[in-house]
Amino acid sequence: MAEAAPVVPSTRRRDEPWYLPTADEVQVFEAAYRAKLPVLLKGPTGCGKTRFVEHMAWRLFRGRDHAMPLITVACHEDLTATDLVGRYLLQGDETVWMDGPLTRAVRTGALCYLDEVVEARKDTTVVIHSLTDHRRVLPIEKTSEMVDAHPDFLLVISYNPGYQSILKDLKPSTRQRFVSLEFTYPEVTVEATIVEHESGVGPDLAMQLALVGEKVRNLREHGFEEGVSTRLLVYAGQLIAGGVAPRRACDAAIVRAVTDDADVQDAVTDIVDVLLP
Amino acid sequence: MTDGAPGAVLLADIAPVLTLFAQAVAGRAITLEPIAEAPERGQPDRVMFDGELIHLPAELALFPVARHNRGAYRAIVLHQVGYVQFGTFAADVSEFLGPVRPPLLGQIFLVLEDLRIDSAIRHHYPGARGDVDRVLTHALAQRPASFEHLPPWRWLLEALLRWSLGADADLLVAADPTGWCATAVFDAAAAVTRPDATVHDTADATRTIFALLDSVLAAARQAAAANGDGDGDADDDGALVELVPEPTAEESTAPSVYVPMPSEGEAQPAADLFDFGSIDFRGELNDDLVYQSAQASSSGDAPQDVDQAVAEGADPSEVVEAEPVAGGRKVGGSSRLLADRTYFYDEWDHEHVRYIRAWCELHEHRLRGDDFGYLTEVRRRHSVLAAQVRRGFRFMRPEAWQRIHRVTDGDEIELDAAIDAMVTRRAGHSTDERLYMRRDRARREVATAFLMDLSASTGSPVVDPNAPPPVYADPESLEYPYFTPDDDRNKDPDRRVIDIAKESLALMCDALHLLGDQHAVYGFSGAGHDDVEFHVAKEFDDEPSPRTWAALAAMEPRRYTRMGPAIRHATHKIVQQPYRTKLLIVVSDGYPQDSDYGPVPGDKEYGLQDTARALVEAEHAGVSTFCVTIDPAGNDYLRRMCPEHKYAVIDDVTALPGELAKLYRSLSAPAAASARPTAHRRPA
Repeated sequence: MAEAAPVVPSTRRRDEPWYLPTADEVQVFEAAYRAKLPVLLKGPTGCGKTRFVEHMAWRLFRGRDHAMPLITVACHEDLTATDLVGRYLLQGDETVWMDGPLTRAVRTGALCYLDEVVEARKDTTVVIHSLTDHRRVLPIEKTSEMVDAHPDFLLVISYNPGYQSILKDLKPSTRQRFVSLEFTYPEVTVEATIVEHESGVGPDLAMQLALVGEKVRNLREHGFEEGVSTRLLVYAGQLIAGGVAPRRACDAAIVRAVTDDADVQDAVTDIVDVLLP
Repeated sequence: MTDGAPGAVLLADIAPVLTLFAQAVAGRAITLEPIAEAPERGQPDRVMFDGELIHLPAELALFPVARHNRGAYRAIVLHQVGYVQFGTFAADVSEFLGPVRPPLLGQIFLVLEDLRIDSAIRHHYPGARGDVDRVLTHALAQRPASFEHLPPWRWLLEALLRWSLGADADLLVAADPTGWCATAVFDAAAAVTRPDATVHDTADATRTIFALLDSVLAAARQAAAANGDGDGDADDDGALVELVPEPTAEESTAPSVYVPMPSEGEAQPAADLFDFGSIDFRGELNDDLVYQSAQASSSGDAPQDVDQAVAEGADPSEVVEAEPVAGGRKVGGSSRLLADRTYFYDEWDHEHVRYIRAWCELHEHRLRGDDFGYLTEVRRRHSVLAAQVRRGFRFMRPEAWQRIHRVTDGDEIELDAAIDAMVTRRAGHSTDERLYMRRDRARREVATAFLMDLSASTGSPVVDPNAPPPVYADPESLEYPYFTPDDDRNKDPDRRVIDIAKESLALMCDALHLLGDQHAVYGFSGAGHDDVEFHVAKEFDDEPSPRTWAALAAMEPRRYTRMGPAIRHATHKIVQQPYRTKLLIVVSDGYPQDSDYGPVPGDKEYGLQDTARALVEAEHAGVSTFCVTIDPAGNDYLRRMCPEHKYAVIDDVTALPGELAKLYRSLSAPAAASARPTAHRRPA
């Protein structure tokens, strides 16, 4: 028997997910949550959107006994409304209804984070719309239910404006239901702090890794869309902290990861070479 | 070609990577160009950077190890880009250079600024220290072995230069002919080696050292006067006094070392004395550029490039539109500075049966236009044909949704499968897990790029073969014999070849959108191997929109037809598309030609062979190619460029829209509609 829904399992973190605010995004998110306004996160890959949502879930639900304050769904092109809402499954000799992750979040009052939502099929927007306006209800066609959203429920979606087709697929009628927070890669000193904290390397090396990120992003038009992400810089730092030689770590975590174009790889290698001591 | 020196590295071999490296470091578009072996007037003969273009040696063989020579190229680029990165060009140096620039002041400034840049590179790029130290040591070794014969102030300048290249300060101080000044000069210069030093620190240090040399020169003058040696031919100091004369009354407020620039035709002994010679890797900083930049910035009229303008919030399209425009149509000009991206491509040299590495520099531009109603106008003009094309393509469209049965995961339970499973289980056997049904959108697996020739010849007017012959009025019957009553003022302007080609592509795109096939529209032109233009009207990812149609409408005749690199670039874009069938359709109006397409001007064979090679490369990359030409003589060369079934010659250009649609249907027909891999598909 197949899994109930091809989604990322729900997450629950009791310790505070570390997040370094770059502006007033924490205050805006908290205000949106209090006003029950759904939130849209825009930003390139690996810039900290998911970490931000985890951090906000921790902030908003700390001290409360909630089994799963954050349910994350990694959307893909085969994800349907059925996958989000739920379906009948065969169990033994009978069919049973199984809630999907969105329905679970709506019933239990969790944050539901649909990552890269515009990758999903169009029918998912049908269920999103009714949850993101004043109605806050989830219609379940197959069970003829109208589920009222729990007061603590909040829908958060993200998409990556680096992909043009995706940007155009997110229709205004959907976009304009969300409070929008725009993320980008942090400026170099902030990014160095993040790399230092997340990877455990020293401040000087963290700064040089952040500079690698800054320089490589100048090449984002050549063979790769977005340049190197903060996440990859952290990976490189973690490899270095784990004993891998810095250039080898950058080769594995950055050079080979960002592009398959041989010329761009060589250029990125040169950038790493001149920036690392 | 290398001259066989061990470890020699050719710029052509590393130009693509080095260009990317320069752009990454600078954060802006940088172009590299080799220094010509025999530079013509106005061309640089040494490393030079003008803010956009770095002239580099075509080959480096400074060291016996290729890795070190490659590192030397990197050090040169870092140094040149350092002028931008560390603020040399942003300097307001006019306040200390003054309206008339004493050459000595400029020389001190350049040495110190190079020192500051090298120090900053060593600080900001710790991994480059090895490369920089190696080229510094090499440059120091190239200085003349002896310089003790120089007059003291000139000796100090040479010592400053050598110190900036890494010479031992203690040895220089020990040899100081003044006995005191070298230490003071080095102390002043050390200020620019701080990590946070700016060009203003360079200016301060320049003034300090200038004053020190002034005092040395004044002392020399006094000594010469005391010795009665003022005729200028006795010794070095006397010669110096002649070269650096006493200030005139007007110049009495200027320092003693002030040297007026020689006028036209006047001997220039002073300039020779002030010339240090070039340091290879540092090249020659274009101090005129610094000066102009400073003046422009002080007057609020800074030179504007695209990056700068965009950074200041301007719409990039407006910057591009700032090109000179004649008669409502853009005139050709160098595209390099306005390029969105730059690529290098090899070119096939059939005479030597080899590729010339990275020979063609292709500049990609995004087209932008303002004719947002272009498609409406095209549909109106070709209403019947547009309907026919759309209807024809509609029949090629696959069913929108397909039910995929018996899969392990799906929207609904597959009843038949569930019943079968139940029966099987009751019988005590293991059951099949594929109990669900899902719906998948079927799609055609076709990606097509249209590559349109934008050479100047596409601006030719189209002659309608069915048009009645013109009727000329009898001049005798006219009141004004020089004007005919039915003059052309009220007629539509002549339609050009490119107008019909654009309309054809607009109709195709309109229909292909309906069909669901991925498609892109590109144009190409250029002038010379280093200025191949590649214009993007529509990328594969672009949804059709008024902006897309306006971009298509903005295609205009430009310059020559260097087809090879354009085909290679279009191929590069198509192969990235994740579709089974990839098509490249080239629409042109003549044979490939360019100002330097081959060693012999006007040699058509070279361009034909390179284009043929590019088409073969595309086929090898899995891209089906097809050439359409509206040149009646096209048979003569197309049959040598591609197989017979890979090209078509259209005699009547007005038939192009209809012919292109027919052609597309036949080319894409083998690409049957296909859905994603399925488990079972129920027969209809």
